[in-house]
Amino acid sequence: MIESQGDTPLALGFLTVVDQPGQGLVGGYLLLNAHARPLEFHCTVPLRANRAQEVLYGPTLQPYLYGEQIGSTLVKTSDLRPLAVFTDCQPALAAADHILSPLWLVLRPMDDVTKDEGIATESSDAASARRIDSGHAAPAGMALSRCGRNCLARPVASASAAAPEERLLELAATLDLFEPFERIRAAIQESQRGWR
Amino acid sequence: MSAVIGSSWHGAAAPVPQVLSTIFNPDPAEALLGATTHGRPLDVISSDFRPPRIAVRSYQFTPGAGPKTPVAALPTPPPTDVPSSPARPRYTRVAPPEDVVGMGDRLSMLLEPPLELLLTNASLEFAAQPFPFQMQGVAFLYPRQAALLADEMGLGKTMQAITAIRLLVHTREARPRAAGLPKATGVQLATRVPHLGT
Repeated sequence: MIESQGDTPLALGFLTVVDQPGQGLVGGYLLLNAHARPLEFHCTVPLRANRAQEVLYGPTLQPYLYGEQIGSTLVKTSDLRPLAVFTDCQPALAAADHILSPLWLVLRPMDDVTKDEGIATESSDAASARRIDSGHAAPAGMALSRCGRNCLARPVASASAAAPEERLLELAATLDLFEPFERIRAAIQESQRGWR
Repeated sequence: MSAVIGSSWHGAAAPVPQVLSTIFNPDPAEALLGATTHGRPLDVISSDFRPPRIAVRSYQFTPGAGPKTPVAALPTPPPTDVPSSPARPRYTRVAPPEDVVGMGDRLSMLLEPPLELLLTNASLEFAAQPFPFQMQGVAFLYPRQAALLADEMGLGKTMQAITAIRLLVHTREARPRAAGLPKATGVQLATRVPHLGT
């Protein structure tokens, strides 16, 4: 069983960004203990880029907003340093350079097609007869790791794109790492209702 | 409340000045020479591009000590012929009752793990796997101070009520109490809850 070390509770961070129609981007960050019970929850106010921003930032706008602005702000808000931070938004991986904990992209179960041996390639003969219910390959330039029945990805270029550490592997094997994001979305919706 | 990044702000904090200047000059040669046009300075339009600090709402929770037993793995989905799309476990979530008005309280209920995970962590044993409607009944009872669960005979009201109580005791939101019951009821409860003291 994984236990906390010293006085610091063992925590896992879950970061996501929701695009609320008509309002903007809202970030949510949930810290869970080893039993998947909530420790802290942080969320931002809706954030919108104006037209000038969209034009001038171009394709870098999304990673900038998701990762640098929302992601790093939320993670730094908490005093707890989680064992790892997980996100289901690929642009939020841009926060990896601004936070201390390792940041992993949790792939949807639908995306989990690699079976440890390779990613489905569009050039193969089978690509012409792909099942429509089959998952998608991992994003380009991402290294995959398996944690129990979860599939995690990290940029290959990341300096610390090593395999997940043993404690994380042991903990993640007991959890569904995609489930907490549903909680965050429900909490964001609830908080938005409360602010109106 | 929303914040718009860029030169116009609707945020809570003051912008951090980081200025990116764009020089508009019809004659690139003059711009290269650093010259002015007809004696007047070049038109410079400046915009701030770093947004203010984003306002963050924070909520902290104090979960119970958690289960005394190690976290057990979630039930593994049955293997399928299409390994790329494994079935995920079905989750039943606890929704905050309408009479809970505090945002922190509502969020703490919404952010609780799904009932299936709580039951797994609590190592609660069932004679038979509860039906989805029974899980919904437990999710209805669990966050409420008082509730009335009404259904037809034989659909598992007793099991739902006992499961909700066991969860509350396990999460230390309720304490075990001694209860005086008619002997027949006590015997019936004891058969349904193996760990219940008599």
